[in-house]
Amino acid sequence: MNRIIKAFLFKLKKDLTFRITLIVGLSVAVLMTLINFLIDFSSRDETGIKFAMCNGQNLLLSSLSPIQNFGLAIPINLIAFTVAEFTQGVIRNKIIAGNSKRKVYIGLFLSGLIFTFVIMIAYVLLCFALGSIIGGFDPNGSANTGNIIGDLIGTKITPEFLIRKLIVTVFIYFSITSFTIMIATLFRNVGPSITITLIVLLILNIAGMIILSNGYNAETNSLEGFSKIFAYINPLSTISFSSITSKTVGENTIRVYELSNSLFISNILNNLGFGALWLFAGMEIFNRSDIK
Amino acid sequence: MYIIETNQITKNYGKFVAVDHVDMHIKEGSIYGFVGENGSGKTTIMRLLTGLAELTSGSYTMFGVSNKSSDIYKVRNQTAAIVETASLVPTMTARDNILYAEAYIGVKLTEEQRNNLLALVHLENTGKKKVKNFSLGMRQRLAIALCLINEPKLLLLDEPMNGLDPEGIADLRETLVKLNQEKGITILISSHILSELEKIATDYGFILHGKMLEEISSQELVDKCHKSITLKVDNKDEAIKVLESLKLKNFKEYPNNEFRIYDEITINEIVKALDKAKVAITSLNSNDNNVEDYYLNLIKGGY
Repeated sequence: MNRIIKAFLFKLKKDLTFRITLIVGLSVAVLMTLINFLIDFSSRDETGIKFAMCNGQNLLLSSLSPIQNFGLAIPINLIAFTVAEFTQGVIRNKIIAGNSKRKVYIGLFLSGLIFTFVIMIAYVLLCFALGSIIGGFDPNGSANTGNIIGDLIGTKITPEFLIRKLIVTVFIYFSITSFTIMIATLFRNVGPSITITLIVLLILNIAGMIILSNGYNAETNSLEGFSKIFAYINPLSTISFSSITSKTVGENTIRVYELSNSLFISNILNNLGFGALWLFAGMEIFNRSDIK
Repeated sequence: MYIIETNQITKNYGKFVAVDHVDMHIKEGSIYGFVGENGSGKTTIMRLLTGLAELTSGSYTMFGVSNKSSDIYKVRNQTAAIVETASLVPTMTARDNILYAEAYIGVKLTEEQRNNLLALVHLENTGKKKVKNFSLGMRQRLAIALCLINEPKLLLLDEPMNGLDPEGIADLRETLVKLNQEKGITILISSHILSELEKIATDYGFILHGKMLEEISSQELVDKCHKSITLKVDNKDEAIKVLESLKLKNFKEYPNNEFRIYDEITINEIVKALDKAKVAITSLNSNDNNVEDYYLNLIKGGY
C-alpha cells in the first residue's frame, strides 16, 4: 500500500494538471480579492453606506464553497488527473507490478484527497491572507458577507459559525472527491465524468436552495416538514442554506449566521457516509472491471 | 517446471468468446513466441495473466501459485509486462518515469543503476526531454527499461517490436536474448514479425479465434519445417533398403510407412529407385517451410 501511495505522490508532484490547478487557484484567489476590493472601493460615498466585502473573514467564508467560483474547478481538474491514469495506461503498470486493484483504487482515492486538499487549502489561505491584509480580519467589529454596513447593520459571522463551516467543508470535499473519483473511474473519459459530476453538484445545490428556503420558518428559525428531512440527507445542505437569527447588541439588532447543531452534525455524518459509500462502490467497480 | 500453466482459461465479452478454453505451458527459461493474427486473443491472454482482466472461467498458475491464491500478487511482483502499448507518463522525462515506476514496484535503484538501465535501451542522453516528445521507438525502449527495473523472472511482451525500425528490432532482439541467456528471464513475446520470432523463440504457441491450435518447441518446428521430402510407401522394409542403397543417411521413419528424408536428393532420383525396386509410392511431398509458412498452413487447417 505504501508503495502505491508513494507512487501517486510522486506523480502528483510532477503532474501538470495539479500544477495548473494550483496556479489557477492562486490566480482566482487574487482575482476574487481584487473584485471584492473594487466593490468596496467604488461603494465609498458620502451617504454613510458602504460595503465591507474585502476582508479576511468574508473572503475566507466565500472561498469555502465547493460549488462556487474555484470550488467547482477542483473536481473538474481531479477528473482530468484521474482519467489520465487510464488514458496514459499507467494505472495498469501498477496492477502488473503486483498491486491488487483494491489497493490501487485506494491509492488513487488518497492521492485525490491530497490533490483536493492541497489545492483547497492553498486557495482558501490565499483568499484569507489577501483579504486580511487589505481589509483586516473583521472590519468594524462586524464581519460581513457582502452586506451593507454603516446605517444598516450587516449579517455577522461568529467565530463559532466560521469554525463549523470550515469543519463541514472538509467533509463535503471528502465526499465530493470520493464521488468524483468513482465517476472518473467508471467512465474513464473526461467529458461524461465532468458533465455528470457538475450536474449532480448543481442539482443538489439548487434543490437544497429551493427546498430548504421554502421550508424555513423565520419566526421559529427552524426547518419544517420535508425540508428538515431533506436537509439531513443532502450533503450540500450547509452550502445551499444558512439560517439567520437576530440578536440585540446594544441599541442595534444584528443578524447572525447560524449553523445549528443538528444540521452541523448531520451534514458531517452524511458526507462521511456518502464519501465511504462512493469509495466502496468505486473500489468494487474498479476491482470487477477489466483494465485496458 | 512451467512458469505459467493455464488450465482451460476462457474470457467472454458478452456473447463474444475472446479466449476459448486455452491450455498454455511456458517453460522456465524459455522464450515463448506467441503467434496469432489480430483479434486472435493474444493480448487478452496477456491481460488475463497480468491481472488486468478477470477470467470468465478456468485457472492458471504462475511460478506454481494459483491465480486464486492471494500470493498471486507477490509473484506478479516478479513479472513485468508491456501490454498493447507502452504505458508512460508523457509529461515526465525518461528518468522521472523510472523513478515513478520504482515507487509502485517497490524498489530503489541507485543513480548508476538508472543510468545503466537508460544506457541499455539507448536513452541515456534524453536529459530533460519529455516522453511526449519521444518517437514511438524511444517510448517502446523506455517501456522495456521500466520492465527491467525489478529484474523480473518473467517478461510478458505484447508486440514489442511495433514501431521499431530495423535497427531497433535488432537491438531489442539482442537485449531479449541477453536477458534470457544471462539472467535466465523467461519471456512470453507476441509478434506479427514471425521472421524475428524465429530468431529468438525456443517455444511457440499458435492461437486462432481464441483457441490454442498448437504448442511446439522450436526444435520440433525446425524438424517439421526443415527442407525435406515426405514419402509414404506400401512396403517399408524394401523402401529402407532402397534409401540406404541411395546412400541416404539423414532420414526418419514415421508410423504408417512414412519417411522424411532430409538429405540432398531430388524427387526424381527417389521415384526412379523405388520404382526399380517395385515399391509403390502412395504419397510424396516436398517440404520447404519457415515458421510463417508453418503458421499459415496451420491456420488454414484451423479455419
